[in-house]
Amino acid sequence: MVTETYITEEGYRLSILQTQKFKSEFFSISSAFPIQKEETPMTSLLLSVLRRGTEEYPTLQAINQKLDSLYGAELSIRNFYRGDYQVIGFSLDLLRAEYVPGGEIPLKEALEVVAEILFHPRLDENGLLLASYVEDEKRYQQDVIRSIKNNPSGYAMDRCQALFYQDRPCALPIYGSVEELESVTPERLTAHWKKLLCKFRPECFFVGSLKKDTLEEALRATVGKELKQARLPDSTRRFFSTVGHGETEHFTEEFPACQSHLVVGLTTGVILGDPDYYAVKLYNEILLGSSPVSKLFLELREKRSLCYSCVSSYQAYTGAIFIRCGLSKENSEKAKEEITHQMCELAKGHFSGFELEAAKNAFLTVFHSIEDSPEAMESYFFGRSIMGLDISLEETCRAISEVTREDVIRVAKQVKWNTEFFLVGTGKEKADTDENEED
Amino acid sequence: MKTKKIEYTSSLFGESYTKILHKSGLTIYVFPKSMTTTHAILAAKCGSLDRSVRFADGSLRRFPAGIAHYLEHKLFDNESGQDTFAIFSSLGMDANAYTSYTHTAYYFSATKNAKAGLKELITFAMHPYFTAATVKKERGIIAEEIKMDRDLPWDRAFQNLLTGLYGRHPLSSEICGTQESISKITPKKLYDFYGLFYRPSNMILSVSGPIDTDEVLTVADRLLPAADSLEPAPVRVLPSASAKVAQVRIEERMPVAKPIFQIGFKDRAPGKTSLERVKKDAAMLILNEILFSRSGDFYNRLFEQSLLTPSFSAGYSCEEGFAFNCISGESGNADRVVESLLSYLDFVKKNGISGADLERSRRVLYADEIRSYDSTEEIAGRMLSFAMDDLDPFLYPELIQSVSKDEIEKLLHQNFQEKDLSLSLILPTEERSNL
Repeated sequence: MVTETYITEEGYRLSILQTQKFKSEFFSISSAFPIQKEETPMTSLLLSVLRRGTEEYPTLQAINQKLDSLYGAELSIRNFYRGDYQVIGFSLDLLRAEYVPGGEIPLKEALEVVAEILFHPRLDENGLLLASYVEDEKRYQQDVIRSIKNNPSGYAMDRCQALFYQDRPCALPIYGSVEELESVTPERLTAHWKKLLCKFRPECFFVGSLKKDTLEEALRATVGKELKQARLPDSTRRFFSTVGHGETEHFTEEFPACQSHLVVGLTTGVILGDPDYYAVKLYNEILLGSSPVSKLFLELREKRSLCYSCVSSYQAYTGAIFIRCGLSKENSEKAKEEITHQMCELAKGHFSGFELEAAKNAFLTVFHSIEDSPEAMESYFFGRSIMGLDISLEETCRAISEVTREDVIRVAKQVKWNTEFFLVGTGKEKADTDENEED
Repeated sequence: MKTKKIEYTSSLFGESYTKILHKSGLTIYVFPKSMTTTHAILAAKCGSLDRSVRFADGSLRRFPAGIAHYLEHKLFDNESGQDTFAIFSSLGMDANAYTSYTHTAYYFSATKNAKAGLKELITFAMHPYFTAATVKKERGIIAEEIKMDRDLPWDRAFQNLLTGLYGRHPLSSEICGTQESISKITPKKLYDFYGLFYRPSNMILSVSGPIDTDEVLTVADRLLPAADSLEPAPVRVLPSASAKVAQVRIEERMPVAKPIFQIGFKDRAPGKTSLERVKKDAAMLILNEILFSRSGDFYNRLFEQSLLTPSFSAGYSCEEGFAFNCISGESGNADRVVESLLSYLDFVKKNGISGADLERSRRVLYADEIRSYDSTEEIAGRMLSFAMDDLDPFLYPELIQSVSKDEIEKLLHQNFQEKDLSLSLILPTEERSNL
């Protein structure tokens, strides 16, 4: 695989990961903005409104039909947080030219659609984003906000994160609140779109088989043409910071579900790019992570049958670890005791060489398999590039292999219990009598 | 029986795979792929529908709901006391399993030592070991899993739809079973169930990745019996599905923000042979794409009227003995969605489908087919699902290209009739419906 990153003539950053491995081509264009209470929900709304219609393709149906005609080109909105930044943009997943009957490359036409959406959305006679689109998408975004409660486990996680991050920008929900959206008008949203375009400092990724010349030409004729005024991505000047340790806070909320959910937020003080980053990743994996040999999975589920699901995630851009368990409400204290106990065990170095090796192997497998997916490759490199880091997959694998037992104990000692959120299920499970009785 | 190999090649995909009829009775599919990850799945042809089975002598036996899934959990135990997850972990591999209506599958992904992974996969699936204590201990874990599923409104809506369509039928029971049914599961029942279905001749191994046929065969030869026991697995007995839907409407209240609807159309004449089923499946895939895609009139019109949200989708499911089409989404007014749907279907039935829509749908589905060969996980899964019906997945694009407009229109008339419709609704609990 050939990887190349450079600044194009138009002044935006382009990374090309050239590979013949796939039958598809992947392209992304994105830019990061600091999360702000007044702007972030509007930015999320804007992306959906832009995707609704353009000058050339005035309706959602027209855009979708155009993409379908390009052999099912998939155009997705990118909208997520990385630390205290909101990353916005679009990605394209396309069939490789060799598999298109006639051999024509659908890339250029698909990029034209992206350029239309970003720079030429459908406007009314006053130059404003179409009021009906704004209203539709507002209503839909409000539905999304309300439906967070449809999944009790996800809702508990959201609540815990908001309480954990408190005053930090990333505590703000990406879609905002129902009330905040009410006040968004076509005038405000159009002004916001223009402002974002001025500040748009795009970073483009391409993963696929196309030659550099062909790709550049397609970009120049489409997105690049519009980006002449673009400035360089400012990733190296971005500021990422960890969450500091504070007093432990406890929160409880009742919810009409059969199952209860415990979410615990821990601070590690270590983010991606820090020397101890790999040790924290391994700490999280030994403690819980995704592995069925992790301490909490074995103790909480396998030995004590307290829960079915028990997962934890390490948020590399803020240094937080969130542990989530779905359990019966009477078991929450036992679960908390067990989590505390296992954290102490790790800090005391009570884990085996086997556990450390298993955690390392699990990560090596994850990082090696990144090369098997264009989206995973883009996500890996973009995730580092946004912090101004340039770390190859090989370097990551080597760093994981080199973590020692002492490194894990050192980080284990600095991990602190910060926030716990308990969603108490108050719903009664309906007794489902099974009609097909056994003999 | 000697081991036999058959090779299949597709010039369209530029790929090939080998089907092996192993002397033990196991059917093996090996799809070499120059990727980093090897994905392997070993599946037994038994799932949540295998509640009542008939033996060659005509006798019947019944099992509690959720037994296939319970067995899936317990198969990870070993006599040595070492957990199978731990063994895979020490190899740097992720192993897991799932139970569906028709099969139970165990799988792993590896970026090295794939042969060692295959050895473990076959070994643990072929050596059940559980005791009264370990079976009892699992009950608490599965009880929590059942509760978790209970709280997911989309899952509930689907489960209720199946009850609406089929009534008294194992499809109407959840795959995990109920708190009551799992309390009846004993080690003996698990061993009996295992003995009936986990025979090489009733199982399929599907592997894709940087591995060749001989490497897989070496492992299989070493670990599997040298001959097929020739004892067939018992036959699944399903209640004869009534032509009519059992209930036209089922409602349940949950803390959802917006009502969730699932509209089912029962297929009165599911394909009898596997070839008939796959042909119908391909034609229904196109028909659903034409009628309900994001590029179609129906979705866009209702979306603009705020009657639908992007969660809208449609899909056809078919297995031996039953088939249905499910259209699902969220709407503040599901009854109007059903009304609009029926009048839209009438309109298309009268006016026919457009050539442009057909061509667009073929293009999209053709691209989906090609792209599905970009991941070893997807390939192994795809091979397995076709293998369950003893079919060649390379046939599928041909079916998509060759099905005629007339055939698709005939299905439109047959499979979308109001009398075959059942509606499942999840409504917000009262206190939230005021929002």
